[in-house]
Amino acid sequence: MKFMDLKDLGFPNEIINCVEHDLGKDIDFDACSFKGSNGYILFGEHNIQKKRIAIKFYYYGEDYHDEVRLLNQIKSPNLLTIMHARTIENGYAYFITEEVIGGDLDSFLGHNRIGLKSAVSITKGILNGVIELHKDTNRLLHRDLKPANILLDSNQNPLIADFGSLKRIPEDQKYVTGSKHAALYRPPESHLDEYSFCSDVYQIGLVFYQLLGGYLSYNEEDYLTNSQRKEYFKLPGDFEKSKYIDQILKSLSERGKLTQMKSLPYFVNKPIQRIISKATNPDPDRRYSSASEFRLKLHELG
Amino acid sequence: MAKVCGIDISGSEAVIVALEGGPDNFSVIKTDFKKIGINDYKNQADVQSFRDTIIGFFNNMGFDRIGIKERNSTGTRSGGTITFKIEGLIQTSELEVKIVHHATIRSKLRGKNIDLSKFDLNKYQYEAFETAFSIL
Repeated sequence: MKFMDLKDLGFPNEIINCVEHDLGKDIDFDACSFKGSNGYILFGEHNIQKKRIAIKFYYYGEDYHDEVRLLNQIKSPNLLTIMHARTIENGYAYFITEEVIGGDLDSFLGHNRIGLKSAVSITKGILNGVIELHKDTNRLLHRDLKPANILLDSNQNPLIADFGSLKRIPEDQKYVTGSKHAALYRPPESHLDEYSFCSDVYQIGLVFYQLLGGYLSYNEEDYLTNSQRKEYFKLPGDFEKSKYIDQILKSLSERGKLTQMKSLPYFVNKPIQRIISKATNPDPDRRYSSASEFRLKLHELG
Repeated sequence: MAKVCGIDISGSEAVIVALEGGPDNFSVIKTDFKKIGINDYKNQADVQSFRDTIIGFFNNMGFDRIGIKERNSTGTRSGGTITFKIEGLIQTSELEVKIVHHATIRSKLRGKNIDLSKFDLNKYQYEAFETAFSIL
């Protein structure tokens, strides 16, 4: 991949410099992706290790955090293994992982129907990975759980990826700030900067709902009423439109109106709907307080 | 301040109580995790799901140790196959797991006069509570 191509693709100079002068010596890059919510992904073959790898570049800005380095020490069959991570110039950083052949859950959902058993199995796997992050010795919050950030290996085993929003919650604190990415998956309390363990549970609840076939449009204009649409199109620019959509989605999530149980297939019975409702309850105190409690309910389904 | 989990394995279920504190000053940790079973003990996926769920619970809660009430291995009141399977799966935890003899439990409770009805516990959790208390 020629480095000038990266410039044409809109990659920042910091990343181009890193690829050209550092990573490019050991890695033959041949593909890229913009599916990650807050970064750039390059794929290639590592010349020395002789394996396919993926490099996720992201901008952490002033919010430098050591969490990705901590993640390097965590091993779980449901967490994408970080092979290497470091910062580069001007607030950018990257981490290197193996390339996962199955692609992400978003693409999979776009091309496949997932039955009840697979949906439950995949969600159990996601919860296993999150439980490892939340473990008392780690206390890491993912903050950006959504289908695009979950990869599937060849056995449909889910691997949680994209750790650019990872944040450690100190022992003496109950909350951290919410991530600013993916407005659709932001739990209501994150707007108050009260993001906690059960906030990750909310996001997994939405993923479970989607896996079962629940309607959750990625076209943000679909969430507007007719009068809201008129207001929206009067707005002067993309920034104002984006802020307006954020407010609409915030209101819908606060009222528990993002999920539509009627959009679920017939085989999603009341007990399963209750699990979805509890996991995505707008009130964090009425949600599963931990990923392991959510996991228990899925285990009881059999 | 210790955080412990007491388990009473009965039939094909592990009944759970979590406590925090010391023998003279403790509290019951509120959790939805009251009991968990293996749906089909011959099915590998079900057994793995049980293991992942209960180990995940231990990891989430950050327990210092786990106590399992000892079942008799022989005799009319001995534990069944599934009981010992559940016990073995719990022992795969990285945390300290103790098998607690009923005599140990009795000796720890002696003289304490704990009124179990004042805690938010179901009756089927009482033996799990006593096991948890014995390892505080």
